[in-house]
Amino acid sequence: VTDPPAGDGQPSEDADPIPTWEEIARDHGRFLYTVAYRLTGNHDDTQDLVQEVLLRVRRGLITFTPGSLEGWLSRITTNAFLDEVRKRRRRPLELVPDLPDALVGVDSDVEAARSADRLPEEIQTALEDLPPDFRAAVVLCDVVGLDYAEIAETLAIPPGTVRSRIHRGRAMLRKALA
Amino acid sequence: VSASTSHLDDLISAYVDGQLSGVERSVVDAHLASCPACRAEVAATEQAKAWVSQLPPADPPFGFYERMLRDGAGPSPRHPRWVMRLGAVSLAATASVWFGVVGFGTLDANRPGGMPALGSLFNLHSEAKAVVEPTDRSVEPRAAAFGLPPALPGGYELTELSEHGASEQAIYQAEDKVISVILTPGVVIVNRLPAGTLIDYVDGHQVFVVPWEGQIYLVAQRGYTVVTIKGPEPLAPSMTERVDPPTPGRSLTDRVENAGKGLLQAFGLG
Repeated sequence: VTDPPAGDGQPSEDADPIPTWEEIARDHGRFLYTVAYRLTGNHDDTQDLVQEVLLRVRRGLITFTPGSLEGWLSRITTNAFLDEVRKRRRRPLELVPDLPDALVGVDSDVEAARSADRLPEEIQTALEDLPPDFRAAVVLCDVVGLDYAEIAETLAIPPGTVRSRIHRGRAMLRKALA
Repeated sequence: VSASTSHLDDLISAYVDGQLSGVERSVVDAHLASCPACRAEVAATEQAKAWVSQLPPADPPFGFYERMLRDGAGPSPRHPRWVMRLGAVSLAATASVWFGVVGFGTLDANRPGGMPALGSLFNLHSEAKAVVEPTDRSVEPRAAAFGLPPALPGGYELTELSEHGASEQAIYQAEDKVISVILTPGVVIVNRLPAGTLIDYVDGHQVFVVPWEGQIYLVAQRGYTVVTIKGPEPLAPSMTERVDPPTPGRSLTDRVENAGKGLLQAFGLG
């Protein structure tokens, strides 16, 4: 995934200037953090992702395209997130073995405490369990509020794929939260 | 779209999102008028959309942006910032309550290449309850609550901490070697330990050396947490013999049985 358009890092004369990262932090910091958190699901990865986004902005790798600044930030954030996901996929993945479940009795109080999770955390957890590509589509649609054409452009996928990823992602959420 | 021959599939989300063309929308409306199942599907999809869209904003920690702007580029991505933060927190917060660093008996002296001193994994917080606070899913407090060290001898660094059902899994990586540590709330059900399980003691606590599907796992009870460690390579047979030398006339089943009683007594559960 690349952040289009890369160009020479300088905005064209008629484009709006690239906002400084101070401006982004001041005016859109909460939005940026929220999108990153919905994608990663934890504050540590969120902070790394936000840092990466601001670095990309500062390095001038991304030309600001006129329009919604938040849409532009969402695109950089989502691409940085998916880049990191792909990088991690190349590492050896260790899965939890079946061993603990087979050997361990879970206390009913612990189960009860866990089932009392508040709804936003349940939703966030279900979101995290979506495959990253599906999660990105759902977040861009339902957190950022992009339309399907914008999501297709952001993720560089056909509109039909956007449609199916969002729908299947929601179906998985429904199943997880049923 | 043929409303007469099929249900709506992913048109439903596009319908809910207002992303259909006029023609498509008419077709869907016509279908919905006569299909209760698809109407229910629309309602459920609206609910799923609302779940996500109504999540509250996530706030950065106090001073987060200020620090980032002040520090400039920040640390190299090769050393994730959160690992370093975790180290600092662990040192500051846990000195008085941790178990001391313990060796792993005879294992340490004879561990195979690449195997770290596993005893250092057992510096678990003496009060650890293993019930994850559901409102805070960030690595730092969870890892600190369990007393997981940020690094292990042999160049292993804590790279990930993730939830898997009721379990937490920490992954330590060095080069291409990986060690998994799994923390699960509950107690070891001793009579489910497979045949061939051996016993060792770490700092007075019993540890099970469990063969499972061709690999060796170390399993220990710590408070109300079961700690399971999967190393980068299986322990050599000669090492497991040193953990619990065969006793004539004593079957593996007997050993597991005895271990179970000791374990239960040690934690006041017997």
